[in-house]
Amino acid sequence: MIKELFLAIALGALLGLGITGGYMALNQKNTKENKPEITEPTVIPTITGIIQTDSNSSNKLDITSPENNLLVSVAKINIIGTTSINSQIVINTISKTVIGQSDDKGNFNIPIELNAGFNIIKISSIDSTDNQSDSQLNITYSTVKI
Amino acid sequence: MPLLIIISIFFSFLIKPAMAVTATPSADQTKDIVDIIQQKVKEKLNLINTPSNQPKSFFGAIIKIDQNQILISYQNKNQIINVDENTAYVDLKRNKSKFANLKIGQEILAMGYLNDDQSLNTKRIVVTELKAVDNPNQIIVGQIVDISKSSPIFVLIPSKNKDNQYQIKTDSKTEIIDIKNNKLDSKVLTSGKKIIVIISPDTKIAKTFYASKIISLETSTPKQ
Repeated sequence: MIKELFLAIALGALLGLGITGGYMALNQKNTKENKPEITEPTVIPTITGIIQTDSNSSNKLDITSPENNLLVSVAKINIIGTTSINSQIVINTISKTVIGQSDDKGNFNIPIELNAGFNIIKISSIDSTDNQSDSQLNITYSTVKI
Repeated sequence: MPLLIIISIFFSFLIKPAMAVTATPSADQTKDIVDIIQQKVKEKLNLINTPSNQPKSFFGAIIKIDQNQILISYQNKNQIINVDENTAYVDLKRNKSKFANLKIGQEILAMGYLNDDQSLNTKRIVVTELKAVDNPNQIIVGQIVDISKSSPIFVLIPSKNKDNQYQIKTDSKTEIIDIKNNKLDSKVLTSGKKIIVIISPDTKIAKTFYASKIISLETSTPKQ
């Protein structure tokens, strides 16, 4: 009786292991098949400068701050944007020219000083192969409360 | 009895894999979820950081005047300026003025807040002439192709339009620097040199530009 009992347990265990193994193998295969394939998004180069004067340039220039036509109450502002990596950035107002460089990710943040009143700010980015891209910002500096 | 034991053992093995189905997400899935959450947070932050109530200002020449509305134009872009009894007016001489004094063709700087329809809810209008605020400067990158030996004039071919050329004049006020902001001597300006130049039309010589700043794109020895 005991012999039969052990035999039954052994057979049951073998059968159970076999079914479990098969079930797990099948389950793993299904998980792999159903898992969505994640691919890197394709980066489509765009020219998104506020006022783009050279749309054929392969260098892009995007000013993220400040907004065009902004009225500010402080003379010192920062021109923040993105362009090609390690590009020369030239920012020109009627009275001053400031130069800077974009970093290895293409970001730049360059402080400038505004004149009182309406300022036409010209911004150019020149990449390593001399491709030039230009933008213009119109910013007013006034301390008058409106 | 043995049959009961066999069935029990059989089912005990089946239960385990069923529980494994509810396993925690893999590292890749977690990264995807984190990326999505970061993207959503960034979008919300952008919305918060782009307040529509920031004051705006528009410059332009008046092209139309209605009862409570002015249409101005600058660089081929029109802007509707809404005025009311609270709008303040300042004339060219910085004296207090009034709506009735505004004329078509006059250049103004309007300050206020944008409405949902992108018209300006104007709080202040200052009569301003374009010639007082215009920035005639151009930023050009190019190569020096010729230098005059008798006068401080050189010819530059811009990189973005090699069919074009600029005749550029310099003087003692022209600042010459390298990309690290080191001051350079005018002797560094030689034929073939690549530069960035800030120019404006020369008021005295036709078809000639005046360089206020020259940035050498090549490594040079700083001026002692």
